[in-house]
Amino acid sequence: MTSYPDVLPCVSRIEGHSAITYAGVLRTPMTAGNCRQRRAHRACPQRLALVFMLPQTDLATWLGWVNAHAFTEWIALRLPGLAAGQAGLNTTPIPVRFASDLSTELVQVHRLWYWRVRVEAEWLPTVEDLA
Amino acid sequence: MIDYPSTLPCVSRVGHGASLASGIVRSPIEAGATRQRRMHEQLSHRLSLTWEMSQAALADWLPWVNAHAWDDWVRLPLPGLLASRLGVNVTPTPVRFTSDLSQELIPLAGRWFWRLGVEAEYVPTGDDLAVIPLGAWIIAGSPAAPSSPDWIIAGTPPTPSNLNRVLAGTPAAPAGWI
Repeated sequence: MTSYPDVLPCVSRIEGHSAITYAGVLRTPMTAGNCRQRRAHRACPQRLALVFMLPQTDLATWLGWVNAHAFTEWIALRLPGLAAGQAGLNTTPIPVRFASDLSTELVQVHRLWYWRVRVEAEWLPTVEDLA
Repeated sequence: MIDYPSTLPCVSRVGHGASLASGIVRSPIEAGATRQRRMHEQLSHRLSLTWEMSQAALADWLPWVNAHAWDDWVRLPLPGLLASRLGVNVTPTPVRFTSDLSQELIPLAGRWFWRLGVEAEYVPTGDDLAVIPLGAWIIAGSPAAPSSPDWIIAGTPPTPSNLNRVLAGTPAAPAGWI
């Protein structure tokens, strides 16, 4: 697994960091009675919405690195969430893989122009993570 | 490929954005994690471009665009990947218009302007997306124009350091080793 370089910008917290946790629920409607429900898995994979705020000076470095690694490898990216909560930290490296196209937008922050980059990533917690 | 005339209005920064196609193909597996691979590693850009211009400028801009921008690749000064590599705000980037043009008449500072929106594509080359080395390295000059002998002279050009030393850290707290 490749570590996300310390010199590249962290994931933004204030621009809408969020995740969907898939419970793997399979529901079978019954003609008479309650739906039957069971789970396809218990690992609860997460689909993360990540936002990075990048000055233009960092954009080429970030895009070059992401294009080379983040879509084809699992990268250890410092994120808040389940693993950080277990470790008692604000963020901790968790293995994620980018799983969508990138969306960029030029925005003004305190009279400076930044690129806001949005991407979705996936994380597959282990059984130990969810113990 | 042709250059976008410098006499025509620049692209507006407001509303500028892009969608970068990662070329991901995902194959769900019945039991196990989804397999994922890439069709390409080009990160082709789908750009949202906006111009704001007076009616007089529109009369020059629209015929030029109609003659070139959908049929040729146009080097249009834009922020983004290429400009970032060169350490500048904008740099000519080869794009081609790919959508219809939307026009809207808007009041701006007591005058009427046309806001025009169009989508364009930019396909980065392998060089554009080459990984930039990370870590502790110093290039004299700028990335666009690096120093040809690999020299860094401490001090300022009129008063260079006598010892030709570069101290790591800060003057108040220099690094232990020189």
